[in-house]
Amino acid sequence: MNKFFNLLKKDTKELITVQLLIPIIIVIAMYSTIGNIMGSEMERATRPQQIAVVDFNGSALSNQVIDMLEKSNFIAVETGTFNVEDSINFARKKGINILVAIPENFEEDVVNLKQPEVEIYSIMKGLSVRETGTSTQVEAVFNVISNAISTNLITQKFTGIPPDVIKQPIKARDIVVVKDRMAQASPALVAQSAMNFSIFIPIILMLVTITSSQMIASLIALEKQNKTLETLLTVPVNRNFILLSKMVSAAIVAIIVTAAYLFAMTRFLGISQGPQASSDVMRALGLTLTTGDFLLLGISIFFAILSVLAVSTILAVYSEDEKSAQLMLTPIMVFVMIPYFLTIFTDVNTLSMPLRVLVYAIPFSHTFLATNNLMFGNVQFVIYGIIYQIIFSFVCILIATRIFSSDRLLTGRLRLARRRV
Amino acid sequence: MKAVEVRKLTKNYGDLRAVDEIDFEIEEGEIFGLIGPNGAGKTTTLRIVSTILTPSSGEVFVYGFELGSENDKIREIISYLPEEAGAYKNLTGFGYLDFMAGFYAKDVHDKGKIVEKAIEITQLGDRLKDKVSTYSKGMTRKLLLARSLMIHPRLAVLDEPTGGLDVVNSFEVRNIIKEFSKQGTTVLLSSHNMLEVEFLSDKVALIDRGRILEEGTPVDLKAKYKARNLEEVFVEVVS
Repeated sequence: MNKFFNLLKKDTKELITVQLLIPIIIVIAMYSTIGNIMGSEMERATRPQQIAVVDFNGSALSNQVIDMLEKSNFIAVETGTFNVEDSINFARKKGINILVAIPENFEEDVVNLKQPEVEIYSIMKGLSVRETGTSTQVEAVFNVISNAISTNLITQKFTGIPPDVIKQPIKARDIVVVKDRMAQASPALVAQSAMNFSIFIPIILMLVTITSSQMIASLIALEKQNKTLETLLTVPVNRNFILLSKMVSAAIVAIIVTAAYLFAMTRFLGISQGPQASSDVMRALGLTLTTGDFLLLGISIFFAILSVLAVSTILAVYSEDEKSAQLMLTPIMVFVMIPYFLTIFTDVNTLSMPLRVLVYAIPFSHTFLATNNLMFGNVQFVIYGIIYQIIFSFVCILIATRIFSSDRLLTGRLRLARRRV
Repeated sequence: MKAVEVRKLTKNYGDLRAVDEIDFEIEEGEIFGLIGPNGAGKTTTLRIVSTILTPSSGEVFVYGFELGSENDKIREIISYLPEEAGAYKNLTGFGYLDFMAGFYAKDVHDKGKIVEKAIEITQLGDRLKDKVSTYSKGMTRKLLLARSLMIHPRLAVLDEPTGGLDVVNSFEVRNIIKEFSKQGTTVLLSSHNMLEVEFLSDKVALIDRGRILEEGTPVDLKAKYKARNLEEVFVEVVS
């Protein structure tokens, strides 16, 4: 066992290099910075926005409109002039990017249903994303004004009737049905609540499988590239231990790397808390994972990692150096990406039979599909998937151990190059 | 007891026969040199004796342990130095020796003694604290030779031990091998430098195209072919 830990320590050390750590630190720092900037920008966006107002009408209705703007998260700043150009200059000086000009006959035209034109000026300083956000503010300003006027008109014409009843004569009640359960919620809310599972588990799985694959291929290829393999094969340690040590250290480092990237992503998206408000709806619909479900998911992830490690080992044996090993892994990347994208963008059950067979033949697909199936109670499907993954993993591990115990480990590359005798 | 017994050893790579029914024996404490040109079958023979490759046919015994069925026991008493060997570049010289000693030591104290011996062999001093990636070829070779001899193996299999080294480094490496042989380590080495093998070996075998063409002590072979050195013997035998 000591010999195994001796190998494990060396292999893990070999993987955790400055070249591995620097990109991770950069990504975490970058995502955290972007996340913080986005957070502060969003916080600023929710603060009351200043808008410049020039009121050419000065009527009770125009004052009412300005009041409504004040009540709707805007701070109306009178420009103190009745000239549009001067008002624009005033707004520019104050750093305000929206100017609302209420026309002279505003109240009269409204009363006579002549649809007066309120001019909303967007003062653009560039073409950045932030500038384009101004259009949302303009729309909000327009809606506030329009709403204020329609409320005023309805109050005048239909005395005693609440204006909201005229504006929205019907109400909608969203009810989501899942199997025999239903709950009052919009499908968008349910989809958003399920995001942690439907988006993040596939991302975690994709990162873990691809990183483990790269790690084990690097370990095997580096032994060849640095010409240390021959020596290692003559030390008194079981060759299966050599393989096991590489698999375990690749998995450990892959999990660490994935955790680091995931941490960076949650910082970026600011969703580490998860959708707490809608958890009652999810519970009511039975769209939650039980301890047993998590156990099945864990088993499925474990065997997905084991499969990818075994297949990568087999491929890496035939590589000459680290570069060619990474090239050898291209098919694995493709086979991981297929179920990843399919689970995010489509329902596998709607695919044609040959495509479905292809997807189910990929061992990693079953883990990608497991979360949704567990949520919707298709436990049997998940169990069949795990059984397939177990068989696949053990067959691949058997092949990998056979290769590791044979001459092929040393001569595998020799088929491509000249044999050295 | 014979240190190594090789009988009718054959190794094929597909259609290519790299080693063709060779036989030789090595006595305990002897330095046995396998000499021949590139592609003669030296490395394949050494790899088979070191348990890395499996023979296509034939038998090999190392200190009575049968190759194939008792590989684990053979690996405990041998040490192999490949021709193009390297060390883990992100480890220091000391770290590398410590890692390798971990496979042979019974406990921490034993490991310390093994590493101490290696430090003495390398004569690299404080440079052992530096990463292997900063070493010259000569320094790396000395480190690897120390790794293979630090455990006092009963059989040291050395493939081109001075390959690519300058005169001074080659001289030092040869002296280290001689010294260990005196202490009881049996050495099986290969080289295409016949003068070096003549200086080092008690017995040599001339190998070409997978076959052993001649075998004996350097003195006997030179006398038999009336040659001044093994190089002339080899040319005579091949022609």
